[in-house]
Amino acid sequence: MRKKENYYILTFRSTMQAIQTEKRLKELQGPGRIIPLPGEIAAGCGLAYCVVITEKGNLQKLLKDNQIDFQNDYEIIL
Amino acid sequence: MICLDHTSAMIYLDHAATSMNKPDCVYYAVLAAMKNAGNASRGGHDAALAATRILYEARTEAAAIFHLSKPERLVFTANATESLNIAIKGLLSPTAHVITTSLEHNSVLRPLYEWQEKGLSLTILPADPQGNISYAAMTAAIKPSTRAIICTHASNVTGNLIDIAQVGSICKAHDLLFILDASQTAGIFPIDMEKMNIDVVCFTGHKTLLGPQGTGGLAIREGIAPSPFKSGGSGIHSYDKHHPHHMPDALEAGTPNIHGIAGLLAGMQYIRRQGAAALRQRELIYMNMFYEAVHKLQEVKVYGDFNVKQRAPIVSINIKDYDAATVADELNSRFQIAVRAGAHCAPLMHESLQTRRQGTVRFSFSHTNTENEIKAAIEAVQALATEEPQ
Repeated sequence: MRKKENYYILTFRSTMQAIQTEKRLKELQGPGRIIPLPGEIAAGCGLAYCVVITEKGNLQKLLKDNQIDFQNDYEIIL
Repeated sequence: MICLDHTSAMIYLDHAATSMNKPDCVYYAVLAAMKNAGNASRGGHDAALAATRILYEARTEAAAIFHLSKPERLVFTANATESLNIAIKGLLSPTAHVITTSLEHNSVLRPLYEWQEKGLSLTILPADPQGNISYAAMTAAIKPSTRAIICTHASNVTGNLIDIAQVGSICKAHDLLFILDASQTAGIFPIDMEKMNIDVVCFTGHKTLLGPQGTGGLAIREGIAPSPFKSGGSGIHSYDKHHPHHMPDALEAGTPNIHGIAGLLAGMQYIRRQGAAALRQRELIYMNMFYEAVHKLQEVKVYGDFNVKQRAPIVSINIKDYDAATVADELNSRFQIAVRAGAHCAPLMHESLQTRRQGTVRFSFSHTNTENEIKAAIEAVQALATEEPQ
């Protein structure tokens, strides 16, 4: 197994919202990727969007500037 | 193994039942999805994500066809019948009054008859001998208890269109739900839920949209919430005792038909690339070519209104007093021409056309047909109509 690291992740109300966000961020050449929702996060759909913690600021700016919707955000060690 | 070799020589003119000879991209998309797609919304591995992305793209593509601003309000089902059942059973109540028409398919009528047995009051607008309804009669039928108008966009027997912009205006003026059955028109004829004030559009994937059988859906305007009739797996909120309430998951319990939806997506993208207006024009050219030739034959009776330019590409006929099934069988066995005979699941239309006993022989055309096929169909009808009984 790989070494655990700190990540910044987004959760979504539906998988549709997750894929919509993935598509939008890809168009914007943003960082990160879709991952299965970590078990310790009880809410959201089965998918999450994940970036390494050092990209948190970049991702947040993209989300804000482009009014991209999500349910919640977390910092989590995975 | 079932032999499917019959298709090579056949002239297929039964597109109102299901489209055949679809663009190759549809077949390849189904095969590619079967090879590569996992279960949509169930997991984050590459195969599951591939399926989830197909579902998303198809939802967005279908929503655009109906001018539905929020794709999450586009729900996939197995067919138009399932869509109509969700809308009709999930939005009405036994105390409601509902208006529908004699043009309807049993997938509208039978769910309404079930409601009627529970107390719902139903007005079925009659059609004139040409198969048209009266919009004045539609307005006159509205009562204080009227909740909805449910109608088809096009008769699957005659091809006559219902003016859905006018029905939408009537619904808006009287604050009624407008549920549309777009089984014969989706993707090819303009349907704008916003401009035409349509609350729910029910469609099938395997006819005009060129997708595989087992695909369909409904587009639901914001603020309209049919009660789901199924619950179960959603891929999300697994520890919740209740099925998710948000769209589209609320109405999509269970594994979606991603292989079929991938084909449907390819069909919808093909229509967008070709242009719906261009495809529609080609279909109407074929329909008119056939109509102009056969309606002149003394032995042939054509049903429906051909005075209007815009109509679904359907021509229903009878030859003398022959049973429609006999004519269809002759066309198939002697000329390899596939058409549909009988009642076409639209019993009330045949009351209006007075064809209950005889049925009709329905020729339905597609942009995938060729001029030579239409010529062959004309010659076959001419032969059957004029030859001495053998």
